[in-house]
Amino acid sequence: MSQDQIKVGAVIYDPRVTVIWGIIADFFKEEGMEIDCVFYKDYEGQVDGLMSREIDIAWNSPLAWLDTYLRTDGKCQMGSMRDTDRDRRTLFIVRKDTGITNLDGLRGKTIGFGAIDSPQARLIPINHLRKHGLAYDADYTERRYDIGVGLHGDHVGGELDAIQALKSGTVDAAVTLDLNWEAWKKDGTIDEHQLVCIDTTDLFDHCIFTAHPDFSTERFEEWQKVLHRMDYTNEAHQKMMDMEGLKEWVEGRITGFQQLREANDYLGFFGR
Amino acid sequence: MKRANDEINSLYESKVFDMNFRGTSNDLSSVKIYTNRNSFQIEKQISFDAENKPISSLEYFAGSVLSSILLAFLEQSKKRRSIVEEIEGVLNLSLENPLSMIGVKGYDEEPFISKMTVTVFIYMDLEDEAFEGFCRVALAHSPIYNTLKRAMKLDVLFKKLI
Repeated sequence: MSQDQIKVGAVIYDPRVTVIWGIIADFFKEEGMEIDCVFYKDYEGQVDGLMSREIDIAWNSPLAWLDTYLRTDGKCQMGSMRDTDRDRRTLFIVRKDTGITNLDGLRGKTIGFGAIDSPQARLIPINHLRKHGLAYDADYTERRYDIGVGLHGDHVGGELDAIQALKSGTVDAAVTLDLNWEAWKKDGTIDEHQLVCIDTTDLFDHCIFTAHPDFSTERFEEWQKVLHRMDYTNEAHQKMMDMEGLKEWVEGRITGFQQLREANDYLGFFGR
Repeated sequence: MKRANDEINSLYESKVFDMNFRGTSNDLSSVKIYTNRNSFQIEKQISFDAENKPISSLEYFAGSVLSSILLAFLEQSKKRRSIVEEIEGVLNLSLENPLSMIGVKGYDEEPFISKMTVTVFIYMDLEDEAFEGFCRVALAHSPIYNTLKRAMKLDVLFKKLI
């Protein structure tokens, strides 16, 4: 088994995010398992990097996981995720004064979505609408807010623009991740007296570490054991965890990606 | 007796003041800069960690620009019977292509400071026109401002406190 540095990929759109990876790398060094962080501009590049073994492990968005899963014929290895990656849902929001109370009320209306490649703010909600009888490109008009394409919805800008469009009346509904909705209620971005949630998707999961099929499974497990030793009560770890939005690393699972797989099949996103 | 003028006094020392600095790196990680009688250590060109304490190259640079401009105002004030009663400045800068600094694959454009704005807040008893004139003269005595204005977009705004 090679004891070379394990190469871990991450997509970075803001230089401040490198602080997170610096803390993680320092911790792994302390634990005697050095990692080399490799940063990518977008998830497609990162999956390319994983496929070419430029990296061993990728911190993947759910869509990047699916891309990897498809490119490796399902042989890629799933790893850990954040506690907050589990059981997320997307909300369908309307203005209270429209009188729309359920998804059927969106028939013929304009819905504001996030970026084209956002699992939570486009792909999964479109699949949810399909399951409730609203066909894409037929029963409603899609108004997309393509901020940070390539980042798979990591950047909140698209969802925020959709919500602002809803507030201004440009769209009749908007979709957003539950965590964003809660954060915006707290910081005053949205007024609960004006906007209301009329439906939610089923629960789904978000980011996940993904290893190349040929990367040593034993080594990947050791790596994850170290990762799970990160502790929120440790000051440095807490700083990293607060920035990355978690309290602990948990075991990964792929059952939470089912809706995304359905959406990909429905929209032919990856064309496979 | 003839007055000295540019033609007569062409001494190099009269026209140019040269300064030299030495930088070393014993640990091959940080850099130590020596001035005539002092030295300071710099660990990073820039830190993206808001909690990082050591002063970075970029912070020294911004501090250098801002201090030069504020000191130019204070020096000008002393020549005018200390008319500046209070002064404060704010510098905003935009660093373009920061991700290429940290080696993010897909970004290879050179990082550079594309824009810098300095706002100087001054409390002094001068009418608007005189205030503006004072600021212009003071600013003209900042060699760092005069250098950078030729190289980049550098705006200096004056705000009179009432």
